[in-house]
Amino acid sequence: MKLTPVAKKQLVKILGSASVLTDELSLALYAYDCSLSRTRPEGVLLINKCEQIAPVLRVLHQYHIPFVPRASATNHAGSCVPLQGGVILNLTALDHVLEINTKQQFALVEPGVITADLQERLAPLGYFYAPDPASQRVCTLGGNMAQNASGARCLKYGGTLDHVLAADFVLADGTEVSLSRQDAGPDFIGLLCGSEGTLGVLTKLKVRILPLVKQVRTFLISFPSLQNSVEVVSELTAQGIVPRCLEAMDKLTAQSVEAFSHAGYPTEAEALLILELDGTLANIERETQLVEKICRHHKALQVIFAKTEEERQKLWKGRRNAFAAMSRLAPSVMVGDGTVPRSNLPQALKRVQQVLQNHHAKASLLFHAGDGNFHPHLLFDERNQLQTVRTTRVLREILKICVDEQGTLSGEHGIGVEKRALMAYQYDVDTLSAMARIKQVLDPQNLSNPLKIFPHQFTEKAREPMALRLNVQVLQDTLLSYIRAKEPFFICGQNSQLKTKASTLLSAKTLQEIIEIDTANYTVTAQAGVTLNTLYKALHKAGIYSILPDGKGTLGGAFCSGKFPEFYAHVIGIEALLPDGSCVHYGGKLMKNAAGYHLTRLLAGSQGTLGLVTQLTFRVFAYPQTVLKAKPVQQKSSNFLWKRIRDGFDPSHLILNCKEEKARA
Amino acid sequence: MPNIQREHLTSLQTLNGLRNIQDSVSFCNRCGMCASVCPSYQQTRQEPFSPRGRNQTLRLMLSGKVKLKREPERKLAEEMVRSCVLCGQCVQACPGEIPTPEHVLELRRRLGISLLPTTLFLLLRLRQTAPKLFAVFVKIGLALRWTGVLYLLACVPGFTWGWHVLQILPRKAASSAGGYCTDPSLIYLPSLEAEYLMPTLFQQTYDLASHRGNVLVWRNTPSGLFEYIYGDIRRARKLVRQLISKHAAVGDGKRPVLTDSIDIYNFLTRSTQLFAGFKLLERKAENFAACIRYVTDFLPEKAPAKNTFAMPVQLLSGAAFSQQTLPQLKAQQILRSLFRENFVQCGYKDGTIPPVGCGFVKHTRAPAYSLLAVQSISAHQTKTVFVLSGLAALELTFYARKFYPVAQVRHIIELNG
Repeated sequence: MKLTPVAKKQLVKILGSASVLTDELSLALYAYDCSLSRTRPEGVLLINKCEQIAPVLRVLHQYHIPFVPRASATNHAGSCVPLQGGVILNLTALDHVLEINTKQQFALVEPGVITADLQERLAPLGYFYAPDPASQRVCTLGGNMAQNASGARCLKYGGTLDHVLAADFVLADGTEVSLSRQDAGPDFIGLLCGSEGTLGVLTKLKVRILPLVKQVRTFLISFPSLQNSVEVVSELTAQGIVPRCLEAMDKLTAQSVEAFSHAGYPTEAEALLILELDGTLANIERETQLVEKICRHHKALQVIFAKTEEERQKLWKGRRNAFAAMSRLAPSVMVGDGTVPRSNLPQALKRVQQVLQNHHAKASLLFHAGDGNFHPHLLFDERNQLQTVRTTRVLREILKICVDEQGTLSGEHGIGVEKRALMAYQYDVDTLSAMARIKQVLDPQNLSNPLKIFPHQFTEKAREPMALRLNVQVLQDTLLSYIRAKEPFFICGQNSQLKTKASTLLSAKTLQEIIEIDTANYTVTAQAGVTLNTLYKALHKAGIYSILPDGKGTLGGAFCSGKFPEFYAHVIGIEALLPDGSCVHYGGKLMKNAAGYHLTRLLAGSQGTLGLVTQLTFRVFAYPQTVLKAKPVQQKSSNFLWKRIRDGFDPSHLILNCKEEKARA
Repeated sequence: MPNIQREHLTSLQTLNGLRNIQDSVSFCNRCGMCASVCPSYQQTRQEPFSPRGRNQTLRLMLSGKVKLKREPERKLAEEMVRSCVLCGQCVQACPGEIPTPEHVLELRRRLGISLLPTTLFLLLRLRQTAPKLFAVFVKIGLALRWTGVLYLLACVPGFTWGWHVLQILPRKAASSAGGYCTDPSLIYLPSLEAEYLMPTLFQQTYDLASHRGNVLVWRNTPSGLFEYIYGDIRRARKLVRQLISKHAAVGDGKRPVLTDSIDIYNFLTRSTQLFAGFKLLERKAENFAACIRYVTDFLPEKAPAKNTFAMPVQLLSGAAFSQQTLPQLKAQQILRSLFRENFVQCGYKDGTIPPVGCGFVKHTRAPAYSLLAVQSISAHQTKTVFVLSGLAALELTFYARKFYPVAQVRHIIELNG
């Protein structure tokens, strides 16, 4: 629907006439972000107070007007572009830090607060906010959450997803929702992170802050080839070293950023690594020796470290401005953010270089090497249509390589409009349908940032479903028979606390296989019915450690019961059967994944209400970790979002819980 | 209006040499790094008032995608260019060093906006056509200011700009004396403020220059900077051409030309862009630009007056077009080596003083921007703030006295005693 005069009048009533812009120039200036996509909205709404968001959304819902929430618009995927017209909600004026609580280690902020501004406020207090996207001087915390932005420190501290403690949110119909990580049930904050504004608008965030690390050592290491540098990354990972940051760049990138930052990057070397270690001094010294040894073994030309804080900041200045510095070389830059498992990085890189060579494409390469996330910056001139088409094709090929290498289209920039067609290459129809159902349930009128993430007519284009293991197939058949017979059933694990005499059970008891212990990537893939005890023994045998305790329960139970919420952050891949009999696959041995909604977080703590988790991939460590303590399970509450999503996933309520069984009886 | 821009530039002096304007603006990849440092964006938090928004407006205008002929588009576009003070913070923040201030000037020219109050324009024109009369006017003006009569005049429509000017002008000022010689080893091109309003600045620069040999002072010689920014580009070009010919006639035509204003330095070193397309003139302008010097090029390593400044010290290097030219970097280097830990390094978001007499021309906007600079000074608790031009010193002194009197504002030349 168009922005009608009646709707405009109502919006003016809420916001004031100066905050509802419909002139040609304003529309043109809110039509773009950092990507190549541009579409003019029909209006721009300047939101000045958080309280204005809900009434504005109610008006937009009433008149079926699509909207796109936007702050600094620095994303690279076209997520802020109003593809279907409608209005832009400009949230940049919501830039107040409402509370900083160092005792409980959180900051309460509005979504328009610039990330670096928060860091500046925290630094004198001796604290920092861990996610550090390269654009932190301009990007906002709300935008970070919408895109699940990460940054160099993500390797050690995780992305935005792991640092949001609570959020106030307004759904597309104007319903206000307060979410907290303390809530029972699925991790809805995790689901909203990376949803690219397609599920609603954030109004407030409570983010975790951490005490500043006192000992940090930043290395600059140069190599004769890019291949050498990524081999070092793989070996460091295999040795169990988790640096605070691990970034790589090629010669072209180093040369262009050196001209701007004067950081002292050796411009003759073919590849550079910036590596940062933190922790105790003894630990740093020990790891320094190991790092030097590994680097020398891989023909490092130079291993130096920043001696002063100023030198260190200079090194980072260069890295953070790498994308922007590309404007020295060409008028337009197309940037990808495909991510692969770290052990596949050398192979993926070889293939990417081959593609670049085949197409004679000019590109610089930049990596969050520790995460297996790499950013090819393709240089071209968007005024030349032929060049644009060719560059788009090259990027598409590169992203396909990432998917082929068991990776993902996007590690941190999101899908937006520019990569949505490739979603059908990464996910099968079941997984895409599950994501589309989430959107359908929470925004039935498709008003919030429409036409993003999902490929057009994906049912026809989606990739072939993955072959299921035999025991999963049997479970799927059982599930389908229940659905056909419209027979309600229970989902339970190995040692389910569910006390029922019902015969219609969908049990994970048969899912007993530990599929892979990958010591190159430090990941474990196991079926949900594997007991924690068995898992513990297997890991102990392999000489690696998990944060899960030794015990009676199952892996699936630990994940779904809500007993170990800290474990969610370690789960990077999932396979699950949904109540309609479909089987979803999300993630894998990837350190980060920003392609589509986080299905892992939706099923985490869902207590079997949204489906049966059959398989999990999670991170493990080279050194012993603090083992989690089980929290008392909170029984299912009447969480509004949970109920809504459950109704969407299981409209006939075939999955039963104890309360419902009692009611039936 | 006599001072409306009627001509456009075809090329701009960029990082990669002369670049077509369309090309120059297309090199902005919309990363937004510039937004967080822009004083107008910091105040409004709206895209049109960010450097990225201004660049995109010019791009859209050049490609014919927006017309900006009707209200309210035109009003917004005018507001957008008027709110830019050309401080160059965005150029410093941009890793691609996109010359956004130049794009704003081009946008201003294309919109045909007159920024210079007509009375001020006529007064400045008088400086070129009848310099002696101009000098008399200034003397009379300063005398009348002392009596307070001028404050009444500033209430008259057309002279309202004078109100702010009267506030920031020094209490005592006199026309400065200078040298003339036939075979100079150096030419001194004083800024308007050094010549008429800040005799000490003139004298100190002259003294610094005279250590190098005979100095020829180009009195009443406009550089064309004011005309370029606020007036007619054709006139600016004419003035620079006059300077080039004048320079060629002195000695072997390669004598260094010293200026006390970083704004003039920045303008003259990039004046080649005024003659793009005219090969001969371009070459001459290039040679002339290579001879331009700023006071930091001559400041001794060990500044004699170092101990006279209260510490800590800070440098606000706000200047027209860019904050990253060689003299600005050198000034920073000098201060850092002199004051070591007492030199406060400005952060990327520290406010800066609006350059090129912003207070004269945009007296309604100057306070807001200047306050950002004062906020930055008070945040660092600096006691001495160095600036690189006389006008910046005048403007900042006024606001520092008003809101943070602890800080003293000094021109960098004062390091020489």
